[in-house]
Amino acid sequence: MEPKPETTVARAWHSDSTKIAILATVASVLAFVVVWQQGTVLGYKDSLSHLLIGRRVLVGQTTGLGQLGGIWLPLQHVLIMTLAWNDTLYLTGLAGSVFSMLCYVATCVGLHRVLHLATGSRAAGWAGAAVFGLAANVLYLQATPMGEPLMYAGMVWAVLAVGQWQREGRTSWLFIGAGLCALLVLVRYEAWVFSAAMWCVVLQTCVSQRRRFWRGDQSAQGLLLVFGFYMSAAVVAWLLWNQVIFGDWLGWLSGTYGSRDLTARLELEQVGSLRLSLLTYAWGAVHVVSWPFLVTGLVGLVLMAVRERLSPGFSAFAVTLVPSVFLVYGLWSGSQPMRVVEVDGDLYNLRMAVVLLVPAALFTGYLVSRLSARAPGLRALGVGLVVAIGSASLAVALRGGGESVVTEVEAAQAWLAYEEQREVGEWVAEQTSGRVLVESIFNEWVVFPNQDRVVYEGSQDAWTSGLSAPGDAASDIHVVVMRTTPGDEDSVHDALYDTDRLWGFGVVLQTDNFLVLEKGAPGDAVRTRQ
Amino acid sequence: MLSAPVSDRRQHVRQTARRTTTATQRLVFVAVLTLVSVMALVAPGLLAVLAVGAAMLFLSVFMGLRLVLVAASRGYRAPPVTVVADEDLPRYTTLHPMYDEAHMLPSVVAAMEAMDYPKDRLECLLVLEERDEVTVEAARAYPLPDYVRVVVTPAVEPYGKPKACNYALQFATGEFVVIYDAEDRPEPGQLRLAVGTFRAAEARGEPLGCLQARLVFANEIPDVDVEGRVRRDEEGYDLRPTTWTSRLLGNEYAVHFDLVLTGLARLGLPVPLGGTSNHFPLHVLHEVAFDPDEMPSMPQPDASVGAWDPWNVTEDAELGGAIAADGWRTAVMDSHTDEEACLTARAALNQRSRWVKGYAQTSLVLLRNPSRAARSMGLVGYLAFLLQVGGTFVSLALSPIFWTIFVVYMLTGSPRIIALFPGPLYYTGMCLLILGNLALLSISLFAAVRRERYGTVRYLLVCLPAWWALLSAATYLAALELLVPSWRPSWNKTAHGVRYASPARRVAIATSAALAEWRRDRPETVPVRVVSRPAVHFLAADRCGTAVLRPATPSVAPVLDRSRPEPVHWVRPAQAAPSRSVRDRPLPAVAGVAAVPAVPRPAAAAVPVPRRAVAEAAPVGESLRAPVVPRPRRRSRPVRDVPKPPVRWLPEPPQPRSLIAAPVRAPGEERRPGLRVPVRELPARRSPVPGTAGPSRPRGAVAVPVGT
Repeated sequence: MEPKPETTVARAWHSDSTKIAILATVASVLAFVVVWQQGTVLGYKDSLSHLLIGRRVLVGQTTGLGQLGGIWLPLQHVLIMTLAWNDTLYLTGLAGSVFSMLCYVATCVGLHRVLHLATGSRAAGWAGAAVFGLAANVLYLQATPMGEPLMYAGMVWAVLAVGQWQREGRTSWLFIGAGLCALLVLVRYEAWVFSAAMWCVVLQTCVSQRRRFWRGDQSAQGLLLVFGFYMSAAVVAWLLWNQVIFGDWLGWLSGTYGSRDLTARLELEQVGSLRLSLLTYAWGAVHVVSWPFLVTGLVGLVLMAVRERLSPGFSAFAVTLVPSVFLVYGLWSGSQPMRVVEVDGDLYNLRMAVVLLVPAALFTGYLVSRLSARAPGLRALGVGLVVAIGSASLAVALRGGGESVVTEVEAAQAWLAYEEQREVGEWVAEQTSGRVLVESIFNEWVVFPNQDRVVYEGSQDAWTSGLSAPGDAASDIHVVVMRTTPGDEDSVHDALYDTDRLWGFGVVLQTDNFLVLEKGAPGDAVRTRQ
Repeated sequence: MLSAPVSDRRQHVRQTARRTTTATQRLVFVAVLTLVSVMALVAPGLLAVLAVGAAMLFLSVFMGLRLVLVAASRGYRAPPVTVVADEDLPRYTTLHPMYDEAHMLPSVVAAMEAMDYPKDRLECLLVLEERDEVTVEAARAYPLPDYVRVVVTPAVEPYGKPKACNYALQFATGEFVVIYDAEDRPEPGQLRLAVGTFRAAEARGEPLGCLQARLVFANEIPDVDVEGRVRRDEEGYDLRPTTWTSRLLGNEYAVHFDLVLTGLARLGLPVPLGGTSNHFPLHVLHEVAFDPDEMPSMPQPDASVGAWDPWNVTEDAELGGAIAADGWRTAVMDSHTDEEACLTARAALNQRSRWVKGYAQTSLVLLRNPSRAARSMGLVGYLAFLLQVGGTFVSLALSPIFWTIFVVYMLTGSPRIIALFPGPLYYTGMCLLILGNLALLSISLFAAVRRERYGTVRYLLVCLPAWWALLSAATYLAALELLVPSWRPSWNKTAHGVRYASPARRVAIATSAALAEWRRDRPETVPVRVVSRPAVHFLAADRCGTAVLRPATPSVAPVLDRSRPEPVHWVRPAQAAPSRSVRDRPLPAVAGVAAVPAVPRPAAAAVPVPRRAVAEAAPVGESLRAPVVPRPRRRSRPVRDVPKPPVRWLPEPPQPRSLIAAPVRAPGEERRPGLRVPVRELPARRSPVPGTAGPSRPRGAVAVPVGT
């Protein structure tokens, strides 16, 4: 009796991609549970901001697409928007973490498929997926509502799409790659240079295939136009958005609370110093990627460059290094902040180095494929080594309670630093009612549990009238929260503290750095600082 | 799944578009208009919001259907084919409706001659109209092959292609029938493929009623040589003229036939047929034919088969719905037919207004009895077909309205416009504006790249918004034609066989001609020689000198006919400018170069160069003194070892040309493959024939209908 031909579903079920997807899903869920138990899902302040932006498009005193703002790129917030209307998903962070976890799984599967396609080796695919999937810092990041996991997934699948197009020449893969690069443009700024670099890969491919640009079928012209159109359209759309909403094409770069403005406040030593910038990023890479995989990645890079002679296939792998190069430039130019203990004495934005895991995984997988090509027996050894190293580092991380996971350490530090804000925010949520006038920037933990009641700097007319006459019926402000940190007061403090605009408000809570007033509460509204 | 049950299929009653609307439809329209008027008085704001909401809903569904079809087309596979032996091939009838296209007769015959089908089983009917005397006379005078017959349709209203084809069907003796327009060039194996597909369907018991071949506008891209240069004729006209209009029309066809129709076919939905290359079993046309009482009265004896609606300008689309309603399936063949697209925007506007008007007519007919039509087509099939035909009309009409609203809002921020778009409508509108337009553009780009029309991409990125505006303008024109009875039925016929050059090209041609004229007037001492092509061997400069040439043979006339070697002195004009063909240089170079166009002429007897002329000619230089080795004769084209051919072709006196000119070719010249528009086969220019619908001389072009 002849065996029944395997159906498409059965083939998919038995494929490596499905197995990796299942394993990655399990790892993702377990990692979220662990992080949740440690209380660091919302450790990063930025994770709060992402949730806030996503929710206030649909929920709040002033809703609308304009709430997406003009500083952070909007794609992540558009995704969060679909779930953040739900209080539970919002308050737990799942409204953002879900997408990070999905992207983590997609990245692991994508790495396997890219390496299998490029090398023909299943072992290389498993090795690459293991390098990335077992990284503790990645497992932590994917449990948080941050935008980096989206970028990793987009990068890997863009490399896969372009690689498929290079080999098969199918139109659909080129369009998928172009679309992914366009979406990446709307996720992170370092992805802009990645997308531009990927366009250059397409150009190199056209040249190597001797496609014509001006004569004949003009295939190079058409393909480059198609690939470049979508990412260009995304960039233009973002610039247009800034111009329409905020009246400044480059508000995201040089406007108030833009990257340069925020970085300037930190007074980083890396600005203007290439040596320090490189050193900082290198230490970040060591902490995040770990020495073994940095070495294997470097060896794989050199080996692939020599063997492939800088072919378009190699270039597609190499462009995954471009975001890291851009981030080093960002450190040097003062548009991206990052701190490491070895240089600055503390930790900040270590997650910027996690992107280096993508090329590390790719080139390590390539190295394993070359090993297995030489001797099939080395195939299992190569994969086994990679899995062993990854598992060992993960085990160490788990045993240490996350202390060796630098990204989580940073998040935990931030969690502790904002304890006072969290208490104020929770108190306001439990003890008061009505609209709350509070500045959102740098007060995210106060705003977070009260988001649907908050009138903040993005509330347009409500914010203006609230600052000028909070007691008026038109403003309808019931609670005023101001930050009173000496030298770092917020705009509510500047506008209302020690003025008679707060007539009718009484102090209901005072901490070291915050003052909370409620309408109709007994007590003096106008208080001098104690 | 998506088609109606067998029991309901035969309930479909076809109705013609003789009346645009029925009394019931007019009554419904008046009632709706009354309701709208009352609401406009009572609650105008609510009415406006409801109207916007309804439009948003319609556009969302229309866009969604388009995306579903494109996605479904990915999995489409052409039906299985059975190989049919020659002796088993059935008789096949091809219908060639022609009106005012006498100049296309050679093209039609050539296309059918090229078909890979036994000519004894092929029946080609040239379907002409009695009132088109020019074409009728030309057809009678033309030496038609035995399998080609002429059918002259009586001059009875309504005039047009569908009525003519209905009339011609009574003379069809083939088991299968296909329609080809005059400019069509189907793949040679298309008929065999169709037969094999129908036979395979019969064997499987599948009710396959129609096969639609993919239509391709050959002049979407220019004809290029192996080096990628555009091929041009001796006067500098592109052999296959291409404009932005033809590019975008070609892309529309790519989207329609490669993505939309295949998606419909894969989902088993009714397929609005294209205008030509529809293959039918003849009995299917008989089965779905209109009631004879509904057809126009023709002079007796008459046995017309009312397969197409004579009053519908897109009778093919309507027939696609009728076939589906009758229970037959339509599939898209893996074969293509080359066509010729309009070259100017005005011609495209006229053509599109006709098509959109036909879509509107078809949808109005479908809406006469929606329940019955839905029962016969299946609800999903009926709605999908209605969306495809009527939805196209409505979406093109709505598009400029919403774009206007958007622009006004961006400029003024009007609160009244804000009030039109409450929350859900606002987000829907934003999605349609950004994602919807992006999706439509992406579909066009995808179709272009898939068909390897890479040069069309830049036109799409730059011109597509203008194209959409043109389509919307055509829609409003069509609506006007429908509303004003005296304008119906108008047939904005597309001119074919047009010679065209872009403005830049015309400047280049004019400049070249002026320079050539200037050079012709200047006295020169260049030895003139009349030779036949391609028998000239240009010797290398370092090998010039004593040229030893073999005696001439009748097939190839050499440069010199000598019994013994004669010294040959190649003389270069003292101030000769570089002689370059207009076809090899871009505009600036041509404009600045005294180009001497090389005009091929029919073979003439070889005239030896007088020795005296040669002896008096100035020597070229020392290179002439080098001895030369006799070169073996070759039948290949001339070997040009010197950069400048020092020979000038004498002008040939103009030959009188007949009405139907046979292809004019020089002896030994082979028919060039890939010559889509046989410019050389077109007779001399003529003035426009009065009464021809559409522009006789499109503005801004040298497009001149080439005919008698």
